[in-house]
Amino acid sequence: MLAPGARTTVEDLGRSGVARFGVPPGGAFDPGALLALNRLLGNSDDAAGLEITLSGPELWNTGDEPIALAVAGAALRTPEDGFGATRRTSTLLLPGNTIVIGPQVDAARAWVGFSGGIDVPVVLGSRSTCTAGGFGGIGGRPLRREDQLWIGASAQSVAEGVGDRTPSEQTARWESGCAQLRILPGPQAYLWPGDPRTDLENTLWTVAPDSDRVGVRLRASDPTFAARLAMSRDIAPEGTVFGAIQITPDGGAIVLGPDRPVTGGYPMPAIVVSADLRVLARLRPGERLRMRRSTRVDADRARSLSPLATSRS
Amino acid sequence: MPRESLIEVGEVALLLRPRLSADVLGLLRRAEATPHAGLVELVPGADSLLLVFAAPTAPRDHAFALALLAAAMPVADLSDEAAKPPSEHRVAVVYDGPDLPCVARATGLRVDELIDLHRAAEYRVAFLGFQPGFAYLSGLPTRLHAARRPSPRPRVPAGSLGIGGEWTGFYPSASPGGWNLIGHTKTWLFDPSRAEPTRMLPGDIVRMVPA
Repeated sequence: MLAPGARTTVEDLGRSGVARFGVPPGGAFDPGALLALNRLLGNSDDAAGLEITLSGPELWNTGDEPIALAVAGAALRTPEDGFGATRRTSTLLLPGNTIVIGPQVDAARAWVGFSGGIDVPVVLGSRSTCTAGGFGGIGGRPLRREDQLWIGASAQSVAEGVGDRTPSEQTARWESGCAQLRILPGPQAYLWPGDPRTDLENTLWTVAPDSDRVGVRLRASDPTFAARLAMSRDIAPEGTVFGAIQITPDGGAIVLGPDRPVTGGYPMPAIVVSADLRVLARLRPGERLRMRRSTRVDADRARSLSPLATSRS
Repeated sequence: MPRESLIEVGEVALLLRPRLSADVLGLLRRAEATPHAGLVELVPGADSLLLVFAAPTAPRDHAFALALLAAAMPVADLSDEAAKPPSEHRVAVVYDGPDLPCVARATGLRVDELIDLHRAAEYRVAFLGFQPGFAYLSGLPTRLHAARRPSPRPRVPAGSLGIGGEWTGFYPSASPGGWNLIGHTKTWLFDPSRAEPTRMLPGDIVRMVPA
């Protein structure tokens, strides 16, 4: 790891059955993207890769074997491409060679898969980094310069993993230049007079720079809506889910990600449909988005249209 | 305030709110003892139990959740295999937190009275959250209820004992935190290398003893 990038963590498909210990599920923010990379590279579905945020790392192959790697998610601006935005196919990193991955152009996050997967110890059923508990990945923290990553033995010849194949990524991620999250009613919707989704829908939201894997933080562009949504009191803490929208006392919103606490004391008026969690994973600071109310029937249909979508808690 | 009993939370989860918060632990024990395919997480809250499934919820999951709710009762009334005696933890605590004077002021108690009251109480783990292994302990004497600090500390040391509103509990890892810090322990609270990484689980009884 010659340079770590803005925030790079080891992730796989996350943990299951650990909420009872207060442990968040973790795992790739878009598990479908990592799954697609693992299948492309001939890995098992749960092989670990890197999740990179805003800008990726510079990697040096210090071993004796070539390493096949592939990137999904954001298009990247790389020196080899003359800093043009490309959606990278899989590539072979020869012994002694280095590669710069990123910075990302059109989305906050991208995922890097390696043939054989990243070999770090499995802790509580997963290789994912749990920063809140300080375990998993490398030392339970984002990667640093001079960290060493071991790549596991590849199931297939690395040459077979290399080619023009790349996981499909819609180039135009959303129409009209504005991201959209479809929302279902949340468990505390009853705390607001009327349906709080009306206020959530009627304002334009901006992604705040302090967004992270715990949650994507949103600010309402119109303070009237923020004031109407603001809740002067906390709720009795209640279990959380991926994509739950919490409203903070100042009327801001936090859309919970994979590193969320397992219980939370902010009221949750709405839940993002699972088919749109891949959009959530890609939102960049400063980006604007809208919310649109949906129904369980529409959510089921949207989910069935994304073949690699995985069901996540 | 309307209290609904079974709420669909997104596509993969169902939230049960029993009539009494005292029934949450009974619901949890019953759910743990009743096998149901596809049920991957049970997350108790202060007055609810969240059931998380591996796949989008189907009518059979709703039926399972409704049956649990219909049989909701306090854990003490469970008579079968769902009932098990609670674990008891004696935690060695030093009452030396930086917020003792401020909690004393807020509660109108002297610092030594506050410490005696806190140490004499018997606590029960209600649920976990906030960070891995962080157990919310119920049973804090009403006189010791103290609102959280107006702005959180950027770093609370691991092992700190705090009071947050009606709850008390220990920070297993260093993190930002808004609770009033009244003491600390050196005992282990969370260790991911153990099969049961969390010392305190819902239903456990906790007593504070001198270090």
